[in-house]
This record gives sequence, structure tokens and C-alpha cells, in this order.
Amino acid sequence: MTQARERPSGRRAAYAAGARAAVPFTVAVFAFGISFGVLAEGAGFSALASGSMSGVVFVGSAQFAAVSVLINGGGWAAAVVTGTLLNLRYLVMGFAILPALRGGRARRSVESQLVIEESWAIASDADGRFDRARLLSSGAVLWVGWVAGTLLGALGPLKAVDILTLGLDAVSPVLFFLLLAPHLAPRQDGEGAGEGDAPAPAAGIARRLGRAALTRPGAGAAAAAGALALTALGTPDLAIALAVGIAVVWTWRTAS
Amino acid sequence: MSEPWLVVAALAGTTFLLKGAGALLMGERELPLWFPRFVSCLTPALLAALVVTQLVDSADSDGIVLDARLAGFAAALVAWRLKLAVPLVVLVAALATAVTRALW
Repeated sequence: MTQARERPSGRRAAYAAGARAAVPFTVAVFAFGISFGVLAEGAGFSALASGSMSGVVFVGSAQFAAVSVLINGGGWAAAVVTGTLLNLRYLVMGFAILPALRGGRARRSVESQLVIEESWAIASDADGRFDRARLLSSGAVLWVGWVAGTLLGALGPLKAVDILTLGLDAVSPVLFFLLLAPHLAPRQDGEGAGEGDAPAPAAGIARRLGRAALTRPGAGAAAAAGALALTALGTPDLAIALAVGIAVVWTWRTAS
Repeated sequence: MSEPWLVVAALAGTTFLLKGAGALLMGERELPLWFPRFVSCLTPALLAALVVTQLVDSADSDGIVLDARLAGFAAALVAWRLKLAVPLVVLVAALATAVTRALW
């Protein structure tokens, strides 16, 4: 943690930065929320049920998958298993965000619920650390967009097809690319080294991080190629698992 | 309990446990030293996989689907290289995708 982040003004700025960064994502999430609300309504969900699901589960992909299983004639258990498998990536992401969170088990496990890909990426720094303020503020903004979109889809006359007409399906790959870009750039001097405030044990970590940084574009390229191959094979859901595997291999490679 | 509410309750439970597992299992203990290194590799790998799947995957059919999203993505890359603000880059992407799809 830098000292700037601990000052109230720095914290406020971080909260504002997280909320601002979440806005373009929220537009897309809101639109996907509408299509989820429409889909869930078709599967027999009341607006209260689909709205509660979005508010508590707060993972678009898992919710879409679970509801699709019901629509395709699967039982509730199959729907839950499918959604849960898609959520396995949050196990890893939850561990990753852990050092940034505060308080005891209960509070940190509740704060972890605001983790979705977008808030996780917005909160991540190029040095592999995470900013709690940016996680919470971006997560809250995205949550409001997701729940409001779901309710509008469940109650309103809108149809899911609007997303395609407006070109909103191109928004999320672009946004994920914009979040990826800083992780691929060569690091500038001083960046990520903590600017003089790193405690002594962190110096070794910083050095090793620097070495890992050299190979991080490689990890990204390998994951992208793998995702392309898995999508071609019709199993895009495995791309996340493969990315975790690639990260493990890259971690092990940079250890020696 | 009706089927939709069963799904909501059960999926809410498993999601809470998965997202909160780190906090629930680790408590106050420190994560091992190699962990930040793992995360710094995990972030670009995960994001790169998301870019690709969001760009060429489709819920409606198996395999790679090349459609108007690619035009939007290419236009966004140009806008990004020109250092436009993020909301503008997103706007360019959506516009280029919508126009390409309308003209197709």
C-alpha cells in the first residue's frame, strides 16, 4: 500500500477513479442485464426472482448459463452445477484480491462478493497488487447497472436483440483489451517499485515481480492463443481454466 | 419452493462460497511469497482469454464466429492508438459494429 492510498484524499480519489472506470462497462452490463431479465422471464422467473439473482449472485455468465439450462429442459440441480462450474474462476480471483481487503473473515468474504471480472481488472495495478477502494466503488456501480438492467428486462417491453443493433456486443472485448493494455506495456522506471515506500521484505518481491513482468506479455499471448483454439473446438468455457494454468506455469518459470 | 427460486438460492450459496473462499479459508494468515507473482501473471492471461472469447465466441453456435464485432474491435484499436478517451474508444467500437452490422 502506498501512503497516498492511505490518506483520506487519496482514498476518495481512488473511489472516484474506480467508479469512473466502471461507467463504460456499466453501460454494457446494463444492456446485458436487460437481456438477462428478458431471458429469465421466459424461463418462468418473476422479476423479484431474477432481480434477487442478479443482486446476490452478480455474475452474468453463470446466471445466463443457469437460466439457459432451465430453458433447454434441464432441472434446477443441473442449472446450479453449470453456473457453479462457470464461477470456479472466482475461487482464484478471490484469493488474488485478498491482500487488498480489510477486516476479519466475515467482512472480507462479503467484500469479495463485489468481485467480477470488470471490477477485479479495474482494481488491479500493473505490479500485481489490487486497490480496495477501486474494487468496491467499481463493483458497486456495476452492481447497480446489472440489477437495474435485469429489472428493466424482466418488467419492461425491451428485447435482448437491441444489444446487437446498437453494437454493444463489441464493447466488452474492447474494454477488456483496454484493461489488458497496461499489463502488456514495458514497465517504466520507478513504476510498481513502490516509489520508495516499499517495506524491506517487499524489495525481494518487487525484484521478482520485475522479472515476471518481462514475461507477462508472453502469458497473455499464450492465453489468447489457447482461448482461440478452445473457442474453435467449441469449449470456450475452458479458456479461463487454461489461463489460470498458464499463469501457474509462468509463475513457476520465473521462480528460478 | 419453485424451480427458479431453488436455482437462485443454490447458485447464490455456491457463488458466495467461491468468491469468499479466500477470506473464509485464509483468515488473517499471509499468502505465500510466490502468490503476488502468480497474480501478476494471472491478470494478463485472464484478460487476454476474455478478450478473445468475447470477440469470437457466440452463444448461438459452436466454434469461432467472425462478425461485425471484429470491425468494431479494429476501429477501437485505431481510436486507442490515437489516444482517445476511454468512453470515446467504446463509442467508436459500438458505432463501427452497429454500422457494419446494418450494412452487412
